[in-house]
Amino acid sequence: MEVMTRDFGKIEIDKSDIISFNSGLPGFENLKEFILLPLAEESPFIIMQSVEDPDIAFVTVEPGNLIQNYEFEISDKTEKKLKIESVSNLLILNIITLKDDFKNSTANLSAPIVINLEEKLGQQVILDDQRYQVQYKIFAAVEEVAE
Amino acid sequence: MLVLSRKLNEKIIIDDQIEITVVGIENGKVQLGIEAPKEIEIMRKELLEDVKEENQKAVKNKKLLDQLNNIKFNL
Repeated sequence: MEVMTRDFGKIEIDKSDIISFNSGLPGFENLKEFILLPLAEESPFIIMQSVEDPDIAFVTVEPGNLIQNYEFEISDKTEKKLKIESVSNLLILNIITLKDDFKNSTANLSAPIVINLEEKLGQQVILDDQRYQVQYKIFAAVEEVAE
Repeated sequence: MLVLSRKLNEKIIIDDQIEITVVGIENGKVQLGIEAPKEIEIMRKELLEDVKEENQKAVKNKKLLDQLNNIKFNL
């Protein structure tokens, strides 16, 4: 099927690539279907594009690119909802907010996107965990490691 | 909205299964202990509002995408 995207124009996708978010995302509760598209070859960034609204696309990245030892517990309720049977089929993504002053761009570590790739089910879960911020400065982290 | 007064260590029970205890009152801050079945999700409301707001901000960054192509993380 054809999908209109924000960043790549009209593209052809396989229906089986669609990830269902049955509750939508906070702030976008009406959008239930997304597809994952790499920003570019070898880029760690993945565009999570709404199938239903071409204007809505999130820049995401796997947390391993941002911080070490990112950990959280998936509740029984989410486990059931996403039909999670094994962690090996899970993809965790964090949404990036790009800022005009690019260095100040942030990642939302407080609300990771959990996707069961096997069942094609996803949900943005909210962690009430003081260690993880909604606006985590991504480039500050990179510099720290480089030093 | 139902409004109840509770003193320190007093409790409220909701629907026989959620028990809320006032465990501390200090400088305008109330500490609550909540006992509820596992499937009940509990979170501070402003966190949900923050995530909504952040998601809405995050979709408005298309014009900055090109800059991302130049970034490599070292982790």
